Amino acid sequence: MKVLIVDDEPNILLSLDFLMRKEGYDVFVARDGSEALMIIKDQVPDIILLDIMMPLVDGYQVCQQVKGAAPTAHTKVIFLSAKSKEEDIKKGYSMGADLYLTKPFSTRVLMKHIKAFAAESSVK
Amino acid sequence: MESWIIILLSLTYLGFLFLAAHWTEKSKPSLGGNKWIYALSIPVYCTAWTYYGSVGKAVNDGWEFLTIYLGPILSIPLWWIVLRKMIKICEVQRISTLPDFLADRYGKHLGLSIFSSVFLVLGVIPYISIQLKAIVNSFNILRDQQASAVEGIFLTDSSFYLTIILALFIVFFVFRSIETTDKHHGMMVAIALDSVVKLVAFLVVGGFVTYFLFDGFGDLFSKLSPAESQVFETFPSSSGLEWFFLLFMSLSAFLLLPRQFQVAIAENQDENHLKTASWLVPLYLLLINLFVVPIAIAGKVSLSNSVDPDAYVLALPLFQGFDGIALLTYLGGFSAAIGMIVVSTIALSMIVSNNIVVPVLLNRIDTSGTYTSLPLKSRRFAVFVILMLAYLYYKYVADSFSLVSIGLVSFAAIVQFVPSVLGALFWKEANKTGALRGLIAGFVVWCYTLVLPTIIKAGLLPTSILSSGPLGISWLNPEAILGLQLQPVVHGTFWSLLVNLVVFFSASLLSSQSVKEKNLAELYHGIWEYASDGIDRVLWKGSLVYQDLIKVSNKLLGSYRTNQYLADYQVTHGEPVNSEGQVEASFVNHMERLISGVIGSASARMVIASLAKEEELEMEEVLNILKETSETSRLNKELRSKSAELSKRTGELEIANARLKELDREKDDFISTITHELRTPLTSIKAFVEILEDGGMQDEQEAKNFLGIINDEIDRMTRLINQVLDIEKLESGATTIDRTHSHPRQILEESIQSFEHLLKSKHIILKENYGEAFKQVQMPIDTDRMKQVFANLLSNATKYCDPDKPSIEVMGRVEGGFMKICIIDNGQGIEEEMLPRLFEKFFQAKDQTTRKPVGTGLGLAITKKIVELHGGSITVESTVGQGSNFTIFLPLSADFSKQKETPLP
Repeated sequence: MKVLIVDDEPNILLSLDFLMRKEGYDVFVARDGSEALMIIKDQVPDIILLDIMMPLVDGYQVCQQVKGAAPTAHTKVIFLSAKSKEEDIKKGYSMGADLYLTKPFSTRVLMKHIKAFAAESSVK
Repeated sequence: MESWIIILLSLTYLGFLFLAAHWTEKSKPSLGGNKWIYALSIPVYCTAWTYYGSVGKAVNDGWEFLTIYLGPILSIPLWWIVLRKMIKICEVQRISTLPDFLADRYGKHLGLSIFSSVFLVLGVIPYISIQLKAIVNSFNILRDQQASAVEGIFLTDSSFYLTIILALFIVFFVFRSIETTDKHHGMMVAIALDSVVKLVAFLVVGGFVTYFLFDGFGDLFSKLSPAESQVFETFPSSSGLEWFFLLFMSLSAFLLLPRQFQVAIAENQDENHLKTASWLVPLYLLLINLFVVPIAIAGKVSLSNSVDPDAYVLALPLFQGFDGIALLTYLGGFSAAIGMIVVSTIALSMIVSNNIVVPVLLNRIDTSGTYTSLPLKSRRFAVFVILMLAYLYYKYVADSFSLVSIGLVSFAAIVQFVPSVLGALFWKEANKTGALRGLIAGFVVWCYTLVLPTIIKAGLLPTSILSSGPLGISWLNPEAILGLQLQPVVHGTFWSLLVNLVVFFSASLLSSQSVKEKNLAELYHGIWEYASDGIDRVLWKGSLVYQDLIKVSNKLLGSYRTNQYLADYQVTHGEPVNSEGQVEASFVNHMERLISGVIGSASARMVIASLAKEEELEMEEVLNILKETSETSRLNKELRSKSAELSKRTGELEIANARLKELDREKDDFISTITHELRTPLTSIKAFVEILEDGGMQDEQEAKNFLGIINDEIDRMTRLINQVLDIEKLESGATTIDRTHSHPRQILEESIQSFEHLLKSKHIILKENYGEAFKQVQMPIDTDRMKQVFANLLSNATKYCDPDKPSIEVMGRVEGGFMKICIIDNGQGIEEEMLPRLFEKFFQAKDQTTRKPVGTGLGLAITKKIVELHGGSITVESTVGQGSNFTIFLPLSADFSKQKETPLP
């Protein structure tokens, strides 16, 4: 089970990294969208935790590329964003996201969803 | 020389002019409106009289011939005052001839317009006849190499055929349009060409005589015997009074002769063309006189006494056997004569048609039928009549006199119009009675002193009248009234003008103006004021049925033109004419002016008066309309400026509204940015709190780290909230700055001290560089706020300086009434396109191209605000890769007027 965490806030990155490792997942971290795209060139994560507002390449673009490319088409994308307006959320789902949680989110709720996705992918 | 060569040359030249005119009329845009054409048409003043007669005059009277050209040159300063005003009036009132100009101003009096027309025709016909004489004489000299043999009359006379050809030429090539105010582009171009031809020809023959036959001016003068040269040495040879009168006559003639009025006033299309003419015309006049004296001397020296001095120009090359030069000379003289005949005949025919033929015929025509061709037919008829009269005058009278003396008699006639013209332009009280009586008196004296003697000398009356006075009364001698001894022409001019002036003034002062005339007097006098706003200042009162007016207009102008004018009226007045029932005064005036353009103002007045039931005007009403219209125009101006102001206000309101919306949007942006900025630390805090609750940390230390992060994030939120409140207070003016007299250097050093620990730990080298004045300077500063500013900039500098060799420079100077502090780092710099937005709130948070910085994104915005509240400014310069320089300027004697600070009690 591989998880890619993408966020430009170091402390958020740190907390999510801790939580994923606690579950025993393989964790990759990226500080912005372009780093994330570099990583998925040679890794196919099962789940991506994705911030939206990042410099240069934003979360929407990353999501589109992930869902658009054959190897990562089945990767689950979870948006974690401070953008909480309805239109932002709709736009996130329209990019092919599997889940959209607004910051601040409950790590417990996040974990429940991740586990569900993990079970789904292990069934396959 | 063979006759056929000369005839062929003359006809070819006429054909050439015809084609030039024809081509001009066809081409678009027409050359006719060109300023050079305009300027070159004015020397139509120089006729065959100039061409042949100046030499004759110089032989007899020395330099006196120059007065005829000096007068016009002296008139040039008057152009801007007199000519320009006449041009403007003629344009506004649609006037194209001198009698129309006078009749329009002086009560549209038919008697005045007929009398002045007759006077002009009588005055100018001899002048035309001498052109015929010049052509025929030069033709004969060229053919027989001697003065003419007497020929028969009409069918047996070659000059009769010449007259007919000229008449046909004028009728067919000029009169196309029925409107006299229409410009004759073709004629103007032909006349301009004509001017060039006669000048070139005269310069060629002059140069030929002076430099080829003789050895220049010096040689010529040396050939004269002492007795002969005397005439050129006494300068002037006539008395001062005579010179003065000759100058005055030529000046007046230059402005008022029908052909001059035609080209300079009626054909003018742009008053600025006068500027070109004002230097080209005098230059032309000087050039064409350059060789007059040399030719006169050459003729005197080398030709026999039997040769008429008027023929010297032609005889000199001819008798020396230079036929080519002689032919060119003939052509120049021919062109000078043709130009004068064409323009004068056109002008006179319009005068005769507008002021004599049409008014007489109008009385006889009934109301049915169309008369659009009437003005044109009557003008063509007038051309033949005028040329026939000129021919007869030439045949029976002109031969007895020299060219110049006949020309001067015409000039003396023109001078009689000077009082009434100047009165029209500059004297509001001048009136119809004065103008008419003055002209008549002048005419009578002119006839008596100048025409009668020519008749006597032609042998038609006993010569005793000249020797001992009529009936033996010697003081009534036509050439020496009251025993005054002067040149006949000057004598006649003096007496006729004197009598004219006395009658004009006294009659004007003794009689009163009609109301209608008063109206026009005001208009003429103040044309610049009245013409500027396009408002009709002519009062008309009465009742006139629209259909009647249109019926007459159709009859005289044709329905095509009438409809065009109706459209014009709608354009200028903004609404169509009310075609039901009575028409408005402004429309009547409009139509009257248009009809004037075709049949002259006196006739037009008759037509309108016959259609309408006109009411008497009250003097008060006329004065009121002049005042009222200027009142209306003032009101209009006010209204326009009010509405301009209104639209300006509306514009300002729109801008303010947009600004409000912009502010509203900024506020929304601000709030959503703050919430976003708050959500981020909250996310971390919530995550770590849940992690700590759920457990699973490796050790106590990890848990402590997490608590530390939570604390940091809480601090971050607190900072953000504080800064938001801070900038809000600064911007709204809720907080004020509290200035005390302090040393900026001390504040700066205290700020630096608080960073000492950080600088050491990051190994940052700090260079302090203060000028002497800065070290001493004291100024009112809010110490705490300024510390905040320095701390903020220093904090940024420590964050962004070069990680490997970090250094910061702080500079302090006093320059030109300002304290200047620079804080310079050696970091990676800021890209140029970001610099202008650097001080915006949350600029970096909003920017999506760079990594988010450590900090709230409000520091620089607060810094800028504090500096501005001190009356100063902050700028940033940066080079990518080399670092940034933030510079603060604070005025030493702070002008705090821009602040919202409450004044101290």
